[in-house]
Amino acid sequence: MSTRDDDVEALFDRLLALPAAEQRSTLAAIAVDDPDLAQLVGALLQADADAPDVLAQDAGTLAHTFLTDAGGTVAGRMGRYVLERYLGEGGMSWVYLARREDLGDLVALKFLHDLWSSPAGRRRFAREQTTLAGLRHRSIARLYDAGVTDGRPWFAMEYVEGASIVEHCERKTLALRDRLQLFRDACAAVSYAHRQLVVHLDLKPSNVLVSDDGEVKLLDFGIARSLTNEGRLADHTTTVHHLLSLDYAAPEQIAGEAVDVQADVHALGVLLYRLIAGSVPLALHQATALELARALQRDPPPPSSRAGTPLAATASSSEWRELDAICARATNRRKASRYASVDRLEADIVRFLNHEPLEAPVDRFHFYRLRKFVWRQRRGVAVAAGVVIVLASLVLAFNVRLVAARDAAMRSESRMQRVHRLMLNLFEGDDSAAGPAQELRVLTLLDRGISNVDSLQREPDLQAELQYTFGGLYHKLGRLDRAEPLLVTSIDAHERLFGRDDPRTIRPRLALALLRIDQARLDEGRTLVDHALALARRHHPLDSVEVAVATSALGKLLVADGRYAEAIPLLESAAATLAAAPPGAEMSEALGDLANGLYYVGRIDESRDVNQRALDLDRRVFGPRHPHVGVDLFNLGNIALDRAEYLAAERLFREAVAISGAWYGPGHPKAAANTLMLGRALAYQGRLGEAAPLYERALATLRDVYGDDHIRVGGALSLMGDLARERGDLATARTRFERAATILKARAGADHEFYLHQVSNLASVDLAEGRHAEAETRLRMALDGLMIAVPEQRYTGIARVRLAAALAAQQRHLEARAEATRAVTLLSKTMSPASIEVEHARAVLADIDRQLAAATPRTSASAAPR
Amino acid sequence: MASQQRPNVNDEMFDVAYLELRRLAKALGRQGRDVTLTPTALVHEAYIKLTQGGRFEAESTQHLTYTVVRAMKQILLDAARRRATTVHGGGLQRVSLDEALGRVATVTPTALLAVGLALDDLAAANPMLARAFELQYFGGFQVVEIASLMDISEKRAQRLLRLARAYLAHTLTVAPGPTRPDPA
Repeated sequence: MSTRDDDVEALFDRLLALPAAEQRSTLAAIAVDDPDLAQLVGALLQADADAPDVLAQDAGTLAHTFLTDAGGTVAGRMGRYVLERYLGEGGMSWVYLARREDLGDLVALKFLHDLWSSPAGRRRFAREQTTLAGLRHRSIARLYDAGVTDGRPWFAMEYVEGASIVEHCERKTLALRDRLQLFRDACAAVSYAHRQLVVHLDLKPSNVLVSDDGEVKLLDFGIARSLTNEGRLADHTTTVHHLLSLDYAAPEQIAGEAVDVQADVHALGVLLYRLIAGSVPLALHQATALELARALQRDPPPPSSRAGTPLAATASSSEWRELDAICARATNRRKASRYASVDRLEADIVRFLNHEPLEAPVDRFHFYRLRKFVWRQRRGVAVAAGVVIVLASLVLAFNVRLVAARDAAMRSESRMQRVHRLMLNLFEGDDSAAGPAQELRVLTLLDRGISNVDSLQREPDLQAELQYTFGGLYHKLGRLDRAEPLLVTSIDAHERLFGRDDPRTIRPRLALALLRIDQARLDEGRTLVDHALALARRHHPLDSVEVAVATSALGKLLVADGRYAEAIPLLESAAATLAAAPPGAEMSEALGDLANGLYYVGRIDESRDVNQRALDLDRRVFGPRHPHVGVDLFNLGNIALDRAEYLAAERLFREAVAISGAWYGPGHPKAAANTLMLGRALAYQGRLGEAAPLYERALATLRDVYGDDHIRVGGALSLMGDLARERGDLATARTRFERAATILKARAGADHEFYLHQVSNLASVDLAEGRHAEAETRLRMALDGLMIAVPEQRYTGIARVRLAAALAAQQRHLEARAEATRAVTLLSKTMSPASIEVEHARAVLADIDRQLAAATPRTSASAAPR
Repeated sequence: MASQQRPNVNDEMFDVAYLELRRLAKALGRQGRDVTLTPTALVHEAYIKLTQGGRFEAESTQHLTYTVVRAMKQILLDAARRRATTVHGGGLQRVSLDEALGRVATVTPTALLAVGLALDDLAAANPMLARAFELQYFGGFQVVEIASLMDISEKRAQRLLRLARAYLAHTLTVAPGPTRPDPA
């Protein structure tokens, strides 16, 4: 065999060197002795000449064809176009260079991937086509033609012969100003698209080309979407996550949150950074969870610190400072701190080119200030970074576990519980839907982690445990929708594994119960809590933490249900038990609920004491700058307001404002709520001029976060109306109250005290303007509703005081006196006797009494003048 | 099929190479059109992976390299097999094998699968020829590298490659059934 092979090899090689005629004669000669050999080598020579192309493939093409999703399977034409060569992939489609058969024009022909031939994929593809058809701009690649061939949709667009903007700049080693000119053209094109209500959402170098004649061309509106006229996306449910280029995507895009023009501002900012610094600020496209978490935690170094020498030398250091500022503003992690539009970004580029002052704040002492900031915030920074990094390592640990799947230590229950509690505690405070900046990173990590949980089928106990853990985390992060299925599944799994009445089902049951409380599904919550509490009592001593935690959950549920009297003793007993255990979040939670229950039943002094305990505990457990501490301060501030201790309230709210501002950022709704209350404390002291700007700032934030029609915006407007009335600006007061009334009627309902209080507020303006009869009508209407909604609350008392004043002004003193008396009684019950409200009510009553006394001698004639 | 048997070679090593290549290929594939995949780079990376950590350090360079190349072959054939199924199910315009072998510049899944089968035959008849071809075709190695890996002269390597190609072409064009050559 082997000799035979050698013969074949030698003969084949020898004959290859010969012309065809000699090959044939040589073979004929050999055939005499060895016909088989001659025949085989003859066939091989023949095959060598006719070898199919497939055997001559370059290995690179092979890999490209089969390892990327690019074609090779599609035959040569689409409609009137002949495919010439593969150009690349754009999100959900393949792009080929094609030639129109009749005209010979070259186009970029794009057709839908197999993977995306679902109805949704087709819709998106059609949308790109429609989008492109609507855009006519010299810097946007034009749509020429579209069709469907063999059921496969395609469209032909302008073929741009050129390179990506980055390649173009680097290949030609363009100077800084030339790069900025090109970048400006790109901004202009994006800005044009925005004016046509189209956002691109996937801007990156490969989509921003520069043609050979130097024109910028924008490509690939593959995931672009239309804006409604309010500037928000028409639908933000169809985000195509995995199509994003992570390096350029805005944090809110990565987190899967609602996106708008700000995403394009961010991407352009990254592109600018790339053009002038030579690298992207954060290379994320292949980041692991840990790297992603770390990277998103840091601010990238300013582009000036990275720019390569030839380019760096083309601008002065103060110019570089300005470019740093533009990049920092455009790529800010917080939407609200970026340029408000691409126009504004472009305008700053133009200003830079014209040596004019920028919109972006230029930090001439950047590093100095940064260091100072970090020093001042060092605890906050360390905590936030710690949260993310610890979580990231836990997620990674689970990843590793998934592969190894045999870390026995992790399986032990106590260890799992420690991990669990650690993770939950880390998230304490991040409980708002609009949460702090690090929340989105955490969500990203959770989303990555959760897929690992899903695949843990071979270890059902670990899987159930992790579902419970992740469910709790999502709950903490305000993602109730994601928390719910996990917790439900986790309970099912626990029951299946251990039995329905196993003590291991207690904690998942309680976790779901807490979720139900937040969902206002109290009956379901009650069933879960009752079961958990019964199990805790059966399996654990009555003074155990387990029983206390379950009891505390029941107390929380009862507070939520308004059954404060039942809740208070439960919470008191839970707090007493937990006080013996090491201090922690559970104790803090129980104290917080207890304080609320006491507050609502009017046991204000006790509520203050409990809040004070919670404050001391939280400061010790979480540190003095933790949002829990802020919540305690907020509650104590409210109590101080009720007790007419306005200076104390001011001090408490100031500290709360500082904490929430540092933790969440000043533009966060929590910070706004604290600011609003600080304004109130000042207004009560008559410091109206100081209160006004605080209200304005809080209102701006609330509008920004919740939109113009949110219930909290209504609340802020109501306070601002009060302020305007006190300052004597009745027209403004009326406008504010009217707006507040419209919002609150729509959002809370016509029978809700929030709305009814605005009716009462409008009456107060009527009163101040001397329109007493109108005031009376309004107040009677308001009181009808308030007596049903909250007969015992301050709003009712306040309305009654106003009614008394309206009646007195109409000389109906007896009626007025009755109303004023009822008001004083009611307000004194719920508020401090020293409070402005009670004092005001007493003053009105005294005034009526004075008028009555003056009128008594002439009772019979009292009605005559009217 | 011989290509599925993984004769004689340390299975674990093959698996590591396979997984590593898949990972690399995916990572490169994600970067889109800016990056051209070169299997040599992939193979090289995977090779480094194999030699790191000391798990396979007793193995010879040739052996390791060839394992990686075979893993690459396996990955490409797997991809082609998947692709071939998709094509038939997916309402795409079918491409006949003749067209695939002859005229269309890009490789179709069917054609690549046919090469895989032909290679199996060749490996059974003359493993050295098959190995040389695989190093070039799936590993992207140059003649000089193949010579060094197989410990033969460059001239001999060149000869083997040409002969292997002829064998395969013969199988692909002469064999009965679906691989019948273009009658023209």
